[in-house]
Amino acid sequence: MIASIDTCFLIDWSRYRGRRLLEEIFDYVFVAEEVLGEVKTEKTVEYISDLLAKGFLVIYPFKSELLPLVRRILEVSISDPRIPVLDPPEAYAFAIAYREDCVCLTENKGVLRLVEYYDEFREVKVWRSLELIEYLYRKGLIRDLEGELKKYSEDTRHVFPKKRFG
Amino acid sequence: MYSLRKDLARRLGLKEEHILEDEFEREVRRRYADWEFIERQPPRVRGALKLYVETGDLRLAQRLSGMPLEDFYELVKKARIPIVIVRRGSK
Repeated sequence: MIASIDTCFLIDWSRYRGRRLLEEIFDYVFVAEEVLGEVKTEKTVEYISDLLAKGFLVIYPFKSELLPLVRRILEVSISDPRIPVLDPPEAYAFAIAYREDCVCLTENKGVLRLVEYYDEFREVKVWRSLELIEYLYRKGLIRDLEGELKKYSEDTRHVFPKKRFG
Repeated sequence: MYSLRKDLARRLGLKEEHILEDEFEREVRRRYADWEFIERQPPRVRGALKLYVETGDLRLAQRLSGMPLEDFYELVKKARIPIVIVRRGSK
């Protein structure tokens, strides 16, 4: 399985004690060059450079072919008030997932809304850390789902409300 | 788009469940934020953190703060503002 990943997801996973689990699921993960320019702290830079060195994290090699799609995604997010505006790093992560038919790893609400409101993007698989951790659980890579979510929350300050609407 | 009043959000075609989710998430951020920490920040950063609490729009708030993304993201966490999204990703 392959994924694309955006900046905040990488920042969060660099702080999560179970970060090695990412390598258990995916063969490799694409990242846009833009993402690298946004990370500053030693922890994240170390994590990213380690993954790049292993060949697990791969700078997307067909970037120029993505440009029309990225432009379209950015235009939609700017012109449609239902969609929170995306910045290029998230737009690239989403465009890579669309083009490569792989999982987009993101916590970006704009991306989640794009998939819901636009039929052309409906088939793109978008996972938050919640879906990723649930997948790890289903695959038997973690034993205690609630416990793992608690650890992730402690490490990253993400909260996972059970409340649902609609 | 996040600060849209409900009636305008409906006119623009935002799904009702999304309007409710936005409200719920805002309440969670407001409740758990460390307001004393936020109030101690310089005006621009303070305004950006408050914008994040109200909207959950990290990019918009980060741009307002004038800080690099990761630095602002770290500050959000220091301010104990939870990262909360009700909407699930794909199955």
